[in-house]
Amino acid sequence: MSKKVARRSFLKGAAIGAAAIASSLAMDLGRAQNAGAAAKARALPTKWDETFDVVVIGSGFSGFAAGAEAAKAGAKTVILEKMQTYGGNSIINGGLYAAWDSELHLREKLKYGNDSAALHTKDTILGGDEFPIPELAKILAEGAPDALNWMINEGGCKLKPVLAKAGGHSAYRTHICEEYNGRGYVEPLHKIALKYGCPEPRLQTEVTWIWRALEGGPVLGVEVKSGGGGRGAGKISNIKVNRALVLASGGFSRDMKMRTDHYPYLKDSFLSTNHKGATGETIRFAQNIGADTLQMNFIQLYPYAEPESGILDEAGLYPFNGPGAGVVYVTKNGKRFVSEQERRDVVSFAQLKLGDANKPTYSIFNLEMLQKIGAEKKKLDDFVAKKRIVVADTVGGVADQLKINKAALEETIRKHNEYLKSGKDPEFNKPITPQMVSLEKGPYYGVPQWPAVHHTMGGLRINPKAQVIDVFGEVIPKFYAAGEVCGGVHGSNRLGSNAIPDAIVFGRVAGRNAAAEKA
Amino acid sequence: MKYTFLLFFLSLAAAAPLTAGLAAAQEPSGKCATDCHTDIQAVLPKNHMTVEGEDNISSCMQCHLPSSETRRDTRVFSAKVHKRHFSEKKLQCSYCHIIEEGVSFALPGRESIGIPDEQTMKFLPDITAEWAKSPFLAATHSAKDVACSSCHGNKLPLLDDKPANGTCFACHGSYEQLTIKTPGKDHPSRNVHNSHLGPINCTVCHKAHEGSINYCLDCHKFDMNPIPAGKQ
Repeated sequence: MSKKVARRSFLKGAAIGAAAIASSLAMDLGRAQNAGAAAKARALPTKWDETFDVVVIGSGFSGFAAGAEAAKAGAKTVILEKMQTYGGNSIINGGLYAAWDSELHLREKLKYGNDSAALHTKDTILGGDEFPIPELAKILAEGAPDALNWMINEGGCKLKPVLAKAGGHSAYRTHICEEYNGRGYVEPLHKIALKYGCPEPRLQTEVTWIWRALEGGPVLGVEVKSGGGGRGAGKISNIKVNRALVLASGGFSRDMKMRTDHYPYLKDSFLSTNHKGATGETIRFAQNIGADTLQMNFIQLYPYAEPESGILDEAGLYPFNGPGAGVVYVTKNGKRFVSEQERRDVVSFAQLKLGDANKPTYSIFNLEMLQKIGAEKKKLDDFVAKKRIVVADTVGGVADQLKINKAALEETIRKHNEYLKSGKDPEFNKPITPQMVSLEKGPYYGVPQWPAVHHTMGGLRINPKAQVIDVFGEVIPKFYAAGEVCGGVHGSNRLGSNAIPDAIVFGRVAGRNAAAEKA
Repeated sequence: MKYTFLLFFLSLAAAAPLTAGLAAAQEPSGKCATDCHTDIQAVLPKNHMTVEGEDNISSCMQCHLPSSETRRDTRVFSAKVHKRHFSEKKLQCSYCHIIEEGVSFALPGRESIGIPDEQTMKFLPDITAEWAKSPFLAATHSAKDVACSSCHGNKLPLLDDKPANGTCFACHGSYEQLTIKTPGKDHPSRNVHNSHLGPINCTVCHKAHEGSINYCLDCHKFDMNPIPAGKQ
C-alpha cells in the first residue's frame, strides 16, 4: 500500500520535471508540442482511433526485428516511425556485426583462432568496465549468431568473406556486410517483417505520449501525431495496444538537452554521427509513466568520424576495423598516440587530449590491410577521387598529401613494422597478432579521423525478457524496450560492432514476448 | 457548413477579363453562362471550336476528359479550367463546386469526388493557385497541363495527401532510370537517386506545394546540383 502512495508522489515529481523539459524540447525539435501537457497528469483518452496487438515505436534494427517476431507470432502489428524515411540510425550505421560464430563459420575458415559466446560476453562486460548487467550482455553474445543466421537465411543478408578484430574485442568476430553499412541488415529485417505480415512502417508518425493509468497497471497505448509538414498541422490520434508496446526508438545523441544534462562535457560543439531524429522524447514519456533509467551519462564518442561533418561513412569505418589488420594511427607530427587495439573511449580521449590544434589524426594503411577488412579497390579509388582519403606509392608520399611530418611518419612506420616482427609494442603495448600486416608494400592510404558523439549506452532499464522496469524494480506490464533506447547492456563503453547484435537480439526477444502477452 | 457564393469575391474577380460579363448567382448551376460568363465563346482560346449545345460543363466534357489519373492528356478539363481560373486570380472553389464540409465536394449535377475537411478547404484555393502559377513543382506540372488528379488520383486531395512513388515513376521513370539521368555534380557516383537510404519516398525531397529540398544536405556537406523548384 505504501508503495502505491510513493509511486503516485513520484509521478507528480516526474510530471513537474517533464514540464520543464517539455518547453525546451519543443524548442529543440520544433515538435512534441503535446509534451507541454505534462504540466498536469493527462486524462486518458476516452476513445481510441485504432487498435493493434503490438505497437512498435521505431523502424531501426530493433523495431523491424520486434515487428517481424510479433507478426510471426500472429499479432496484428504496426511499426511507427517519426521520420520521413525508415531505418533511423540503423540504416546509416556502419554495418559491423559482432558474433562469435555464424553458419558461415568465417573464423574457422580464415583460421583466425578461437572464440565463444562466453568470451564475447566477457569482452562486452570488461569493455564496459563491469557496468554492463551480465545477464543482458550474455543474451547479446548468445543470441548474436542465430540472429545473423536468421537475416542470412530469411532476409538475404550478405556478408563479406572477412572478419575484423575491432577495438576492445579479444577475437576476430566483427562481421561486415556487403553494403558496408547498416542497410545490409535493415533491408533483410524489413523483408522478414513484411514476409510475416507486419505492414510497412508508418512514416512521419511520431509518438507524442505513452498512456498508462496514474494508479499503475499496464501500458494502454500511445498518442501519435501523423503527417504534417508544409501547411499541414498533422493529425493527433490515439492507438490502443491489446498485447504490448515495444519501444525501439533508439538513442538520444542528438538531444542536446538530455545529452548535456547527463554529460555536460558533450556540448553542441561536438559533432555527431547520428541522424537528426536521435532524440530522447520517448525516454521522457517512459520515465513519466514510471520507467527506470540507468547509466544515462555513458555516452560514446566514435573516434574515427569524418572530421568536418561528423559523418560515419565507409572510409570512417576502416580505422575502426583496421587494428586487427595492423593499421597505425598517427598525429600531424607523424607520431603514434595510442594502442590501435584500444577501446573507442580510450582512442577518442587520446585524440581529444591532443587538443583542437592537433585535429584531425590519421589512420595509415596499405592496400593489403584494407582488403583484409573488406574494402574494395573500386571503392577506395572513389574515396580518393572524392578527396575523402589519400593514396601514394610511398609512406612519405602519404605524409606529403596529408601535409604531416614526413620524416617522423616514415620513422613511425619503420618502428611499427619492427614491432610486428618482434611481436612486441614497447610504446603502447598493443597485443600483436600474426594477422597484422607490416607496412612494407604500397600503395599506402591515409584517412583523417576525429571523435563525434555516437552512441548513448544508457537508457531504460529492462530485464532479460526486454520488459521495462519501473523505479521500484517492478515490471511495467505490457511495456517492452530494445536497442539503444535501453541502458545496461554495454555499460560505460560499448564495444564497436556490438550495437547491431544488441538491437536485433533484444528486438526479437521483445517482439516475441510482446506477442505472447494476453490481449 | 455550406459554402455560398459571395458577392465580395465577385466584385474582386470582376476586373479580370476572364470574368467579363459576370452574372449574379447564389449557387453554381454548372452553366457557366448563367453563373458568370454571358458570352462563353469570348473566354475560350481564340482557335477554340464553337461550343455547341448548352453552354455548361457537360458540353466541355464531350471533348475534354474530366481528369486524368495517369499521364497527361492536354485536353484534360480539370487542368484547362483550373489554370484559366487560377493563374491570374485566385477564385473560390465554391464558384463552380458545390461544397458541403465533411460531406461532399462536387460539380453541379455530378457525383462527389471526396469529403472536404476544414483544413483542406482553408488552403485549397491557395494550393490550386500555386499549382497554376508559383515557383513550386506544382506549377511546373500545370505548365504541362498535368492536373491535380495525375498526382493525387480522381478524388479531392486532402491536405496531407502525398503521392506514392509509383505515381511519380509513371511519368518520370523508376529510381534506376532516374539514376542514369542524375550523375553527381562533383562525383558521378554521388547520385541523389541511388543513395545509401535506398528508394525513399520521392516527396522527402520533391515537394510540389512548397520549395523542394535536397535531403542529402541535412547531414552531408556536398557540392550538389540545385534541385528543381528548390526552396529559396
